[in-house]
This record gives sequence, structure tokens and C-alpha cells, in this order.
Amino acid sequence: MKDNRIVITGMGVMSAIGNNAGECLDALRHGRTGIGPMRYLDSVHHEFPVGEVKLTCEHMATRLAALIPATGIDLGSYPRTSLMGAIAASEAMRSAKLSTTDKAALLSGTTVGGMDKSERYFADAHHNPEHSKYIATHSCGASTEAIAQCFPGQFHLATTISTACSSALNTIIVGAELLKSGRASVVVAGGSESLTRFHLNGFKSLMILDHEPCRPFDATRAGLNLGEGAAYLVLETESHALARGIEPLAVLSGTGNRCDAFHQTASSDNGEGAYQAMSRALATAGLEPADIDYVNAHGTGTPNNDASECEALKRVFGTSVPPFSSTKSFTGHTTSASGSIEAAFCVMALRHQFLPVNLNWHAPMDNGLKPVVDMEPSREIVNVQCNAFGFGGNDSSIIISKYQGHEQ
Amino acid sequence: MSNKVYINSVAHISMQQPLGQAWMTEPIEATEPYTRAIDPEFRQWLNPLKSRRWGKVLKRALVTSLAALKGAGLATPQAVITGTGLGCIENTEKMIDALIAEGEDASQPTHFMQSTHNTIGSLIAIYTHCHGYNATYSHNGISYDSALLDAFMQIQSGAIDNALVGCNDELTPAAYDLLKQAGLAGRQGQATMSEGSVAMVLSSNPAGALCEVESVDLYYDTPLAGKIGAPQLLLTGSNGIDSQYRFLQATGLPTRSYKRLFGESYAASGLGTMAAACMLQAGHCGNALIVNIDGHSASLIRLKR
Repeated sequence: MKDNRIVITGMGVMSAIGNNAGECLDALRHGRTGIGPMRYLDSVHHEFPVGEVKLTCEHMATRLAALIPATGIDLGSYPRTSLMGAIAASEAMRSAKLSTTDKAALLSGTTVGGMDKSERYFADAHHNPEHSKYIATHSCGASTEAIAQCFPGQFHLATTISTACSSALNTIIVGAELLKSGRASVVVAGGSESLTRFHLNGFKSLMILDHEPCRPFDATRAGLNLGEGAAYLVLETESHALARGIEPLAVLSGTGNRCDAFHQTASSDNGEGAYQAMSRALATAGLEPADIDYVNAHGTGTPNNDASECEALKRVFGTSVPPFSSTKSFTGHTTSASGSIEAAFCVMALRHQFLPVNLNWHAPMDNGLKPVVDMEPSREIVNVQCNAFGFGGNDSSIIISKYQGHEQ
Repeated sequence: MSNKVYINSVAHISMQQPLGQAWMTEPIEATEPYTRAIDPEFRQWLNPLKSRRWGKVLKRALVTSLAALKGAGLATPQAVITGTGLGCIENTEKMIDALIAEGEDASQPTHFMQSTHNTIGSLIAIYTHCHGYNATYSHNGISYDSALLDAFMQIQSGAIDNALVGCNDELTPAAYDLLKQAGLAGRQGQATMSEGSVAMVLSSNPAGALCEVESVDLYYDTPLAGKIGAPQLLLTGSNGIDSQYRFLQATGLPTRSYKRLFGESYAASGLGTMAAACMLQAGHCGNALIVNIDGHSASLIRLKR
């Protein structure tokens, strides 16, 4: 039934390239990266370029206080993940013209939760009651509820998905299920992740961080740059959106969640999980590979991911791989938030008919493919595929399509 | 399409005797404010060489999963959906302790890899060669309930025929100390703080099922009065000293708390649902409602014979 199409009616983004969707769009269209030397995270490892959101927690708290209806919340103690999440969620809901009469389900993805605060205070939380409060804000669930509490009366359901780098994309997939089953009429889906010493050092110990700005799919790629940020999409059925008088931004046409089942952090050589997830998304969308006009790849810039993902792209698309790029050379790898940040970029690509370029690319890898280096599309962009592959082989893919009016 | 959803098998490791139903007839009473789980002989289930680097929570997750799959006669599920409130605390602590002790020169790749919340779901998929749908929910006390809802929706709609649903939470001594310091544990009359792993196979196939899952509903900031009905068995997540379940007194229905049996942990609602399913199978009652209220969040899980 055409009325049951799931549509995207709003979005909000914070990333290294902008503190809202408009700023991010401008940076994408001007090829302006947000990766640079570490300025905000309190870590000794300044040898690693990072994609930080260009605001201190204090500035985020001030901005958030002006945006939200709730009062009496101690935003000064909010973990960075929740601050960014609430700001992005606020933008998403405002852009969808959502009011508290349109009760929504909140699905948020994160792995670090409130770790930016708890890692700082863990050492003396035992002795210092002032710091033990950060134990309560540490968990993933607490992180999501801190976002929900900024919008009293808005949400009838709130839960958290934690599948590493595919978390936020998975919230969009589950959000669609909630809508199709009639358990929600509006879903706010996405994720948030702040930089922490914990995972910066964790990734460092896995030896997959690059000391230079990352070069996804390039012959000289040497690892990823960590980033941070948040993004949320507002999802609803087409009939619900139109009844509210809202023109959808795009259609969520297809979704696929599959597991590589190979290794805790490495991807299989033949990209099995990625291949299955992308294929499943195409099948649920009722589309052929030839219908895809752009793929926003996971493209972290690690030797392993990019090789594995190229294999998966070749398996799905054969000799006709569509234009594809990784935007992680703009934002860094925003881990749990990457799926929704990059889905938002896909919506921008559809709305404004441009191809986000793969910055820093110069030469193809062995058995590799050439990503997009020129923003100008050679044909109309109608269907866009967005990938997010997480540690643990949690591979997800969605397809977002141009909204071309209500189909009868 | 609207398929019925059944629980075909269950398995648990908790403060009660593991992997069986001894808790039903000979429950172990808590005597301390902190009670660790009783582990089975892991060697009977797991290759010792393969599993030597795995922390307790990973071993428990795998053993309960393998036991549940065996009980349902399933080699590879179509989906692996897990919940965990705090993830792999032991590995997280080891990383943080190393960072504190050695500064940012510490290198703990194994601990880091095993500290992400989806490590458990991923290990189960690797072990059972399952490429199907895989998701991990981490939302405090409704982590299991969220995983259950996901599986329930997908089986009901026909997207999948079966799913392995689990919940795993551990409580290390250091984590217990932090809870105590924060005034959240060890209070007079409070259920013991504990830990647990529970796994169950859900499917659209009623053959040999313990019970049917009638409905799963998740709520945020929503009063539950008026949604209870008249279940024959009413189980709650009360820890003995909380007040959010008092509204149930108005129903006049007798209530029992699954935390009296399994202690307080983020896996408790999964253990409680398992217990209710077993009691239905044993014919103690014809239907059951599990009421789980955790802060702003809540869930209502209805089972029937």
C-alpha cells in the first residue's frame, strides 16, 4: 500500500563540519573538511587528527538551554554525547514542525554514552561524592534519557541501540518497523557519540588510527580519524506526514541489517555481511542495483574496511558500481552516530542534487574502485544507498529516495 | 501478516542454580547485599582454548545461547537480538584502570574489543555462523524488553521465523562498590544486587513451546494504571523498597517480584520473563503479565499458555 511508505520529514545534525544541518550542507558543497588537530578532547595524543564538533561542552549547554522547553535541568553536568544529541534532536523536531501533540518514539544509538565525564571522574568517584553523580549518567540508557528529558511530553517510548558504528543506522531500521507495525506514528531516530580518551586509546591500541588526515579508498590509506557528532531523522508514514501538512524530505525505501559473523573487529575479505546488508536493502526497496545513483560508503580509511567494502560493492553492483564516496574525510569516523549523520548527508544530496566528494583521494587501491571526486552528478540522483558497518560485524544499509509527491 | 509468537526454549545463569528450573522448587535465598551468579561448568559447553580470553559475561552469554538453541532444536537462528544494560563491565574496568595506572600509553586491544556492548551479540553470531539480523539494545532495565520487542515485531510481521533473544549483565566487585557509594545498593529491605544471563528462542512455531507471547509494549513517561487488566500471575521488578509499583495495589491482584528470586540487575526482566514462561509451562497459571518500571521507562509483557 503506497500510503504506508516511510518518509523522512525532518533532520538535525552536529558534526566536525557544522553545528547544524545548514552548516554541514555548506561544507559538503564547498569541499571543506572539519578534520584537524585536537582542540577540545583532553588527551595527550595530539598526533592524531580528529573531527571534533567545534564547541566546548559549556557552549553546547548554553545553546541547548535556549533551544529546549524544559527548565531546571543541570545542563552543565550533561555528558557531551547528550548535549550534542539533544541539540541535533531539537533541530530535527523543529524542522519537522513536531509538537508535543505528535508523540514520538525516540530511538538513539551510542556506545560511549556519558563516558567523557565518567572516565575523568572514575578514579576518584569512590571518594568524591560530587563525582559519583557521573556514574548515574554513564550508561547508554542514561545518555538517551538525558536527551528525552529535554523534551518533556514529547516521547512515549525511548530506547537505545548499541551496535558500535552501525548504531544510528540501526535506529532508523528499527524505527521503520515501529511505524509499520503501528506502534508509533512518529519516530525520532539517530545517534550521538562524543570523543573520549577511552575509545581514542582503544582505537590506538588496535593500530587503526592514521597520523594524517584519512584517505578513504586511496592506495595510501593508513587508518581512520576519529570524529564525533550527532544526527537524528524524523520518520513517519507518508499519510501521517501529509495529514499534518508536512511535505516529506525523502522516502526511506529500503533497509538491511545483516551480520558478517567473521571477527570482532576485522571485516571478512569478501565483505559477506556488507554484501548481504546492501542486497537486503535493495530487495526491501524493490530496486535493482542499477537504480542506485550514489552510495555513501562506510569508508573509514582503514586498509581492511575499504578493501572489504570494495569487494562487497563489486559483488552487489558487478561492473557497474554507481558513484560512491566516503564522507569520513569531512567528519572523521563518528562511530555510533555515523549512520544518521551520513544518512542526513544522503538526504542533502537528494534535495540539492550534488554528490558528496571523497576528499583526499589520489590513486586507486589494489583491486579498488574510484570514488567520487567531482561533485557534479552525471544523472539525476533519485536513489541513494547509505552504509554503516560496525565492530562485531554489525553491517547495515539503507536506501533513501527522492520524494516525488504522493503516489495514488 | 500477523503471526503468533511463542517462546520455544529458555536458559539462564543467575544467582539460582544455572541452566535448569531448580529455582522453582528449591530457590536459593539471598543472604548478602551482593550475590554473584552461579556459573555452570563452562568446559562442558565451550572449547577452553577458544574461550580462555573471554570474560565471564561472554561465556555466560554463549552458554545460555547454546543451551536455548539446543532446547529449541535450532542450529542457527535467523536473528540474534541481545540486551545489556552495562555491557562488559570487566573489560571496561580493565581499560579504565590501565588508563589510570599507565596513562594514555596503555594498550589493551583485547579489552577494548570486548568492551563494546555488541561484543556479546557478535560473538554469538560468529559461534553459530549466523549472518542474520543482529542488534543490541542497551537501555538500563529495559534492555531485554527492547530486544524482545524487536524480535516480537519481526516474527509477527513475518520478516523472520525465529530469533535468539538474550540479555546479559554482570556485576563486578568494583561496580558493586560504586553502586554502594552512590547509595544505590545494600539498603535495608532491598533485593540483593546480582547479575545474570538469559537466552530464549522465540518463533512463530507453537510446537513444544513453553507459552505464547501475547504482547510486548514499551513506554516512556506513561502511567500504567488502566493498562494492567486481570492477569492470573502478576510479576513485577520491584526491588522491595521502591514505590513505583504501589499503584498495582488498586488492582487487588497479588504480585510477586522476580527480583526476590534473581536479585537486582539490568537483566532482571529477562529472568522474570523466563520464570513466568516456565511457570506457564508447568501449568501453574494460564496467563501472566510482567510489569517492569525502570525510572521513566516501563514495559508490559503478556504471556499465555
